[in-house]
Amino acid sequence: MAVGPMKRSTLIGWCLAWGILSMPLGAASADERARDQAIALEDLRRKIAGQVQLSAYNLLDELVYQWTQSPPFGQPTPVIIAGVTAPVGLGAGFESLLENHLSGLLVAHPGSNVILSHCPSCNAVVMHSGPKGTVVSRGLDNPEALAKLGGPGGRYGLYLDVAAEGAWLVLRARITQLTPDLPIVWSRTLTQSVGTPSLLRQQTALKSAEDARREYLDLLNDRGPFTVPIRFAVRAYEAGDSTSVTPVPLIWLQTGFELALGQARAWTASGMLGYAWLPEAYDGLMVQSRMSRLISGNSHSLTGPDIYLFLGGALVTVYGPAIAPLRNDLQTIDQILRDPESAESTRATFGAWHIGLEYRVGNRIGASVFLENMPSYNGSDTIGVFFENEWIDFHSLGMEVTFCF
Amino acid sequence: MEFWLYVLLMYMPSLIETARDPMNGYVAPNATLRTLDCEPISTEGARRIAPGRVSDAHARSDFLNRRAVVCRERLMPLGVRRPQDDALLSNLRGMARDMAGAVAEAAPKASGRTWLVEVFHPDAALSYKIGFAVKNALLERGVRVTDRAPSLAAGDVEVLGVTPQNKAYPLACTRYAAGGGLGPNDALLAVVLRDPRATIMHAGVCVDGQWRWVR
Repeated sequence: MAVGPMKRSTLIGWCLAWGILSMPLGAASADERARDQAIALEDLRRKIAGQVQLSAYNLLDELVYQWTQSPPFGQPTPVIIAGVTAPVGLGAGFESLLENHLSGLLVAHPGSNVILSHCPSCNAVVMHSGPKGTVVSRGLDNPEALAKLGGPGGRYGLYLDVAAEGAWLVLRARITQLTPDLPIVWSRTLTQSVGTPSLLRQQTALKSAEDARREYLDLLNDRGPFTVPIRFAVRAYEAGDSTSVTPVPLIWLQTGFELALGQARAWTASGMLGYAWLPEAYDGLMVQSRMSRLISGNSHSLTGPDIYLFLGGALVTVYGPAIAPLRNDLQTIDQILRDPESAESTRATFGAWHIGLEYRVGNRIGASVFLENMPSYNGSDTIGVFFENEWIDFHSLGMEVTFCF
Repeated sequence: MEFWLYVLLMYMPSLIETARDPMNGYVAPNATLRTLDCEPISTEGARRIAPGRVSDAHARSDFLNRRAVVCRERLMPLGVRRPQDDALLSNLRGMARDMAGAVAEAAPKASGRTWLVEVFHPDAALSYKIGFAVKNALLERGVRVTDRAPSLAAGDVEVLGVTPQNKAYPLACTRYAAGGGLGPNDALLAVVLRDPRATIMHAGVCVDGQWRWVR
């Protein structure tokens, strides 16, 4: 499109006007972006500080633990916290947290022989004029000036520095004697890599990493391979094709033993005895064994739930008037009730095998659901099946709650 | 032709493996790799850290070179600190150890003296950390170290401020000795950022008024 001279100047004018008008807007959006970036960076730093905090505490715990094992001084000695610095990029709040934690540890462990001392003039800026000139410095860095101010002559200053170096958190500590020569009398560098779990030691009872691990293993082994489960189970049955009478659900109380076949508790085996009783309805006895396989991981969790797949078998004998529907020679309830002796002798004895899933928490409490096949009732008209399919008849649907001791 | 195809097939797995190895740097690392801090470790160490990940060598050799690299996520993601500071801090331990080693080599009688450490870096926080690390590294080598800082007269500072860098450090060293800032039993280790864009620090020692670059 051809643009005449007049039109071109108008166009340039409009462009200039637009540029001038949009300048403050562009500057404002740049400011907003910078502000958003600063907020995002601050959030990120806060998140990192939260993640690093436990590791830094762990390093301080280790430092004080080492002091309790090998004190830097032969006798209790006053020490001033001369400086605590956080990793570059993290703020002064982090330094305060570290200082508070260290103070708590030192107060709780007088055996370290490091006694915290208060010295306001040590961290204050002091000015000292002498024959060599005038020196402006922190009190700690100029012991001569500090001595004249009545400072802590001959005491010690503790310097701590926490640095984030790649994947390592590094704690450096040094103790300097506050005499004119400022000799460093003790130093240590401790490191911890990313991913190393913090020991979360108790502030009042520090332990070595080896001791903490031993305690952890002791805790794991505390239960031993044997546990004693107490189980409440309900087995429900379906009515068969030839009857409309649904068998009464059997309620069982079971107990026995459970054996873990390894520390991981990936495989367990159990043997149980069960008793069923409902007044005026039935009594029953059961022997049951079961193999369970952990399917939610390679080893059982100390903190989360576990899921086991189990397969087992049982031998059951039940008797009483309510058991009639479980007999293949079908009698009606009226027939049984009319003949008390028959009621006593109404007994069903059968074998069964079951498959199911158990949800267990902390190896203390579990809930499970299972399906059971009773071979002697295959093709039975008196007992129906759950989840009808071509391959196998599940005659019983059961649910259990288990408490382990 | 068949011969070259055979050669190509023989070496293809090895070439692909070499190209994929981030340690070689043939392929630009992706964003995830850049957030990792990787270091080579021995295969024994790798088997201890991650059992089953590095297979055992066959008793009669299996013509495989096993090399293990352990990668950990960086504590400080990229961008939180200035890239130059990050480069310096990421290997602070190694740098401090090297400095202490250089001192021991340059001044064999280092342990007989008391060492002062000065760091010349524009960032005060970084200077403090570098100084701390170097002092600890020297102490680990059994060297006597002090927190004392050598002092110069105001006139010396004024002159040094306008002296070219290559002459300033030897001159400062002379003035430290002459002015009593460094005693006869003292020595100074100066850790210097010679170029503001550099990500390595240089080290020089001042012993008996004599300046020497050691790293």
